[in-house]
Amino acid sequence: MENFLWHHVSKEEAEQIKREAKKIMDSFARAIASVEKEISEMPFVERKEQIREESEKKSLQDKKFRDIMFENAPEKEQDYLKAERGKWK
Amino acid sequence: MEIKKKIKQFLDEIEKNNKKGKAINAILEINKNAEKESGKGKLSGKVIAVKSNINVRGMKTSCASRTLENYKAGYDATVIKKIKEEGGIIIGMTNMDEFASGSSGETSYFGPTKNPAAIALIPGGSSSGSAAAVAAGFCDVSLGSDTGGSIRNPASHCDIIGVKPSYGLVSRYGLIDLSMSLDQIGPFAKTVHDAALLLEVIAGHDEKDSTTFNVKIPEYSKQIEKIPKSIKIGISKDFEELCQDKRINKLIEEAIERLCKEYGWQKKSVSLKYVDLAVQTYYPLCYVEFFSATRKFDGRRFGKKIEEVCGPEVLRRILGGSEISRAEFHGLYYRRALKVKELIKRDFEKAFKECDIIICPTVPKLPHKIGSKISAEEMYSYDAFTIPANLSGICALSIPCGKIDDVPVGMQIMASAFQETKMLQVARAFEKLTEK
Repeated sequence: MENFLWHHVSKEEAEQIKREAKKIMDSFARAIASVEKEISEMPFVERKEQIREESEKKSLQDKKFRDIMFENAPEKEQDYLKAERGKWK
Repeated sequence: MEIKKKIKQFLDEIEKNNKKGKAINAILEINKNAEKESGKGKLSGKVIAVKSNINVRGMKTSCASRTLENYKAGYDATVIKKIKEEGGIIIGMTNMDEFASGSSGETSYFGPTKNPAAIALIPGGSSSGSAAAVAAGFCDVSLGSDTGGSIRNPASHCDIIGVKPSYGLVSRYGLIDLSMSLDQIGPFAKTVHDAALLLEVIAGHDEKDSTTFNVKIPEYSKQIEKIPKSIKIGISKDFEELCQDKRINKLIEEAIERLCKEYGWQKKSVSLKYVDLAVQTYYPLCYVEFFSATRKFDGRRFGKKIEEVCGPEVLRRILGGSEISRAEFHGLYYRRALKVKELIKRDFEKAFKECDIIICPTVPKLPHKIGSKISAEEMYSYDAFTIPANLSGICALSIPCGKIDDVPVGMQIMASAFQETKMLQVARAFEKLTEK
């Protein structure tokens, strides 16, 4: 049992959280597996546009938008954002 | 001048009780230009606070997380654009559960929000700050988002009105998603009229969000004054059995009796066979979609890498979502949950052929004290009555229904998809009873 107040998560706690998450999901999966009724066809929503049409990139011409996006970037150089290769892994 | 005076009064109240005084901690950032902003339109004179996962240009869309602590929105979400076009004034960004992952208002990186209606108790979540801001008198109305109850749950705990629109009624463009197949933006207010008015403004098809439907938006704020002549109120024993605090059931039963007695409406028993599996259906979907949604928070273009700086509940959802979306588990978690989601939706479709609206408690138990130790499953169980509306895509609201031990209790009114008018009319009818 824990309280839900924010705190920094240590590596050890992260491992415990991962195990707990799997345990919760397994318990939920068992519960919904008890539903025997099958659905022959999953529903599909008919939409006029399935994919958004990308029009002219107005955001690139919006100076304030550019300024804010560059302000948000952790690292930048002139007109480029800099990111260490593979840093997202 | 009147508007400027009103804004100043709200700002003074925030100064007095947000970080100091009662220390509600509902507002994370004030709009420095609020006093200069004014406009004409349906929302002229209305002061609005916005949940911190909705983009307001130039303000921080932090999602109450260290991940996006200093992240500024480069554009207005569609709902914000609509509010500004109708003269609404944005007063600030509100606190919330981190990345909308919570039901209590405790998980914010910036500290928990307090409940103005019951100061030691949780305000509910995840739209904790938006609910508390309205309840504390920091603004007229506010915007929240609801994925599994995140508007209705805090509305119930904080003794105000909160509306989750039908899925596809309100654009999600500019909302940082928790679970994109379930999220909806909606209003908080102290009156049904104000909630209806804000909903009327933000609703409507948006070409930037292909999940919005092209439906005509009624003038909800005017329609609510028409009391329906005959309404069949659906009541499900399935909700009664799930209610952990039976006193809540009793309060709701009394409210339904009053409605029937005053307006000549009828009760109808309906069956919602799979509703007891709502929580177990929702969380696998939510975990997987949230995992997918958070891949962009890798710290390269903005913010920090989420896994390195988030709190425990966000991490639980990411790690859980990552695990169950692995190819080897194909069909075991997500597809099973999709199946039961569809069955719950069909339950509601069938029920709404027999009744006009369904009424039940908003939450199955009273809110706990801030900082209490509870398990994740106990936390998730707060959503047992609100999740079904998200899974089935219908509309639902919470309206104050009374108190137990001086703690507010909300009543949930649900209607079929895109029947917001009917839902709001019933809410207004109930509000008139409580005004007497």
